[in-house]
Amino acid sequence: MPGRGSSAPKSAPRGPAALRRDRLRKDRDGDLAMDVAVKGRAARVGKSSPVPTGPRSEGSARSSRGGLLSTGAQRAILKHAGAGDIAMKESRSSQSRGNLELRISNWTKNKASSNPDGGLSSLLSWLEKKASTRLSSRARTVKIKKSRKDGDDVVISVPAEDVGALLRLDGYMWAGINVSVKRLTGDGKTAETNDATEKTRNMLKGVLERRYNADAKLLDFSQLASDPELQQEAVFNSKSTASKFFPAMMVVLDKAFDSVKDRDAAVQSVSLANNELADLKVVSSLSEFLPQLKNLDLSNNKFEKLDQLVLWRKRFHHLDQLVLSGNPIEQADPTFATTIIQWFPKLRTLNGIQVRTDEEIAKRAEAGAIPFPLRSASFQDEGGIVVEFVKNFILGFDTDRSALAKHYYDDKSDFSYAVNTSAPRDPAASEAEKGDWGDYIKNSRNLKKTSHPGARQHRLFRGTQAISDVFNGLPKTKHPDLAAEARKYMIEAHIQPGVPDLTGQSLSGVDGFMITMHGEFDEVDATTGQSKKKRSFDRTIVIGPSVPGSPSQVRVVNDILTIRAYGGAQAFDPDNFEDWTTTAPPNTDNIPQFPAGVTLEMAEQMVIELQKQTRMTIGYAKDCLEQVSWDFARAVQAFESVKGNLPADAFVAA
Amino acid sequence: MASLTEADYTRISTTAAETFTDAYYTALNASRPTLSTFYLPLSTTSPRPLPHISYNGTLVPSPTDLQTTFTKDMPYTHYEPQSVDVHVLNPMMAVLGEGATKRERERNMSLVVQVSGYVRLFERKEGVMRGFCDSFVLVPNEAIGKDGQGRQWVIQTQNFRFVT
Repeated sequence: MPGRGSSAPKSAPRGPAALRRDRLRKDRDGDLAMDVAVKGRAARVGKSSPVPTGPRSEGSARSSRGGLLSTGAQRAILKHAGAGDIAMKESRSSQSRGNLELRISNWTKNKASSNPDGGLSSLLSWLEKKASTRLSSRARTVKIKKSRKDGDDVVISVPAEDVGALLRLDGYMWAGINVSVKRLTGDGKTAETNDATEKTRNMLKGVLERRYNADAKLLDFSQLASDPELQQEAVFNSKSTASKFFPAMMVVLDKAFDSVKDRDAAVQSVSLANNELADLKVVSSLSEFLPQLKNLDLSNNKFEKLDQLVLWRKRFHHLDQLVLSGNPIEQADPTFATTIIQWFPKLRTLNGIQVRTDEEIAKRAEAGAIPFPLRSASFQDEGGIVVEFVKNFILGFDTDRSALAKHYYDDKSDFSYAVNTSAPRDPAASEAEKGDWGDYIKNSRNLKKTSHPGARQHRLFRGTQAISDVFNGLPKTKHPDLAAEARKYMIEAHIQPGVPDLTGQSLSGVDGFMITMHGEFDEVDATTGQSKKKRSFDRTIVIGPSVPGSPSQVRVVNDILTIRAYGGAQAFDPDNFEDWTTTAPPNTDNIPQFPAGVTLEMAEQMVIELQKQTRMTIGYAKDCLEQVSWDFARAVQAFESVKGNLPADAFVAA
Repeated sequence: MASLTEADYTRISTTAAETFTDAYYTALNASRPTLSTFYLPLSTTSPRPLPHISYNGTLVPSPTDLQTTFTKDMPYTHYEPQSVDVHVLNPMMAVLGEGATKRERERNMSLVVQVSGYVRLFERKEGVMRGFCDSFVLVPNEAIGKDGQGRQWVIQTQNFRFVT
């Protein structure tokens, strides 16, 4: 956020420091990878050394490898892998204890061949190092037990459980050449793995291992499309495989660890830089598999609008550092930073600039720990009465307040407003604006400030004309569009009993609604139409049935308005309940709209029934049903799939 | 028996709102075990359960549940109502006979109260501050003692929201 940038020097941005450290660090893997020039690296997350490249495709050494997987077969496997129905974890238990032999060929023309042993010891230690797994719960150091020369080839002997790790190195580049690693069968011939699933799994595992930096705990997925191995496998040649590749790789990653804890400890940073991403569809699963991510680099992609990033809104609850530099959004939406900061409650650094202090983050962390988390709107309606009223009301207040007063207010309607001059302001704002309450204060009915009974009585306005007059005395307003900018509102409603019945049918009153609206408006200059100031408001309105012959079927009984300094909209964003939202996009509409054929009564019944079956609280049951568009069967399924992860307070106490 | 004047309605409603909000927010901060007494007793006979309590979008099933959550799980809070306003919702909740006393008429209405304020969480001075808006419908407490002691008004419906 530009406004806070000035306070950044308190603690130096972490990006550049990490960058310097990494420049000093040698590439310890011995990969003789070409340094690929990449623009805009200044604020990258974590390791900044070039992407380690995989097996090179030039030369005959690759011939046994290419074309093993037809695109169709591969697609099918990726689908399986994506669905998680193939075992991805190393099957440790089934491995025999004995040693197996592998044939290493095509290694002699290496750059180290001038060494006395022709580079053999160097090759073996590279193989050991490369095959030692780091990206799993059990880090394993591979030891080559024996090695012998066999013509130009070397045959090595390794424990059975290390065979897979070494076979993955087939085709890797070492000292300027692509080495070939093959299994020796009983008759001394090398054997191919024909299991295509295994092959894909190994390929993906290889990509992960190669792109993992254990020191930086970084998975570097930058420039995936130019990854030689992925090109070789034609992953990006069809839309279908391209879209399945990333989720499949996430599954492979997940299966590599015994526990979520191990996984999150091993991978704290991810780079998706330089991938020409224009939205998050293909990579969205990252937030499911690495929800605890601390650093994320999305630099040099094609993100242009916040909408294209919205899938990760309120994901990554622990995100500390985000890089979005080198994306068109920087120019296209100058205010994107303000929104991004709100999306990620613990974000400390954005594009290398400090956006929150440690103290602010600590306080926010505490704030999350209170009961009554922010939930989506609690909204009761009948036949769309409330929705229609709210739409007309907001529009009418901006465009024609006299007409609004005539339409919804009658001689028994009451209106008053109060100014809260010291209300908390937008926590994301850089500086406090002046109040400028002059236009409002003379009729403000804040009882804390207005003690005289006469003033209290006179500042309550009754009847169409009086209300119309006081409405028109308030500055002109422009409210955000209710549909397009629903996030800027929090509108709730409940059935309110005992509302006066002007027809006299029911003397003790009838059911109406109490509507509470929280939102913001621009105060606009009446002549130029220019926005002068942004303010926030709270409006509590009770509506009831109107008398026959009225312009509307409902009337306003009470309308109480509080006007306060602009307070932002972040309190209207429901806290994330990761459990329900694995695939569904965030609910952007605060006004629940039931799908066709579902009435409020049916919805209420569904909530009660779901609560009965699952013992979830009303709130959770409702959230669950909302997530599946009020499809009861799917709600039960959703519950079954996440019930183990639900907090205790999701359930009604026994 | 003369009916109430507009001045009467203003006096009764504003006094009730002030007394109620003073006591209610003090209780939230410092005498949470009394919280349920601020609410209409849970009614299971009405067509819909009352009181209706919506707290940041959570529908709280009963005043006892709210009180339990506050006593068991809520950290230190300091609620500070900064702005309070009130209207009479229904000036005549029941049909009273000609002989009704003034006190009976004064306790035959329901009120809408809107409060805008802030709450500090966790600690008094440095705690996280959030703005809130609290809307209530208050009704006369029918369980009031013969001597007129006890809470005069209780919450029938409530909608609370953090707004910053």
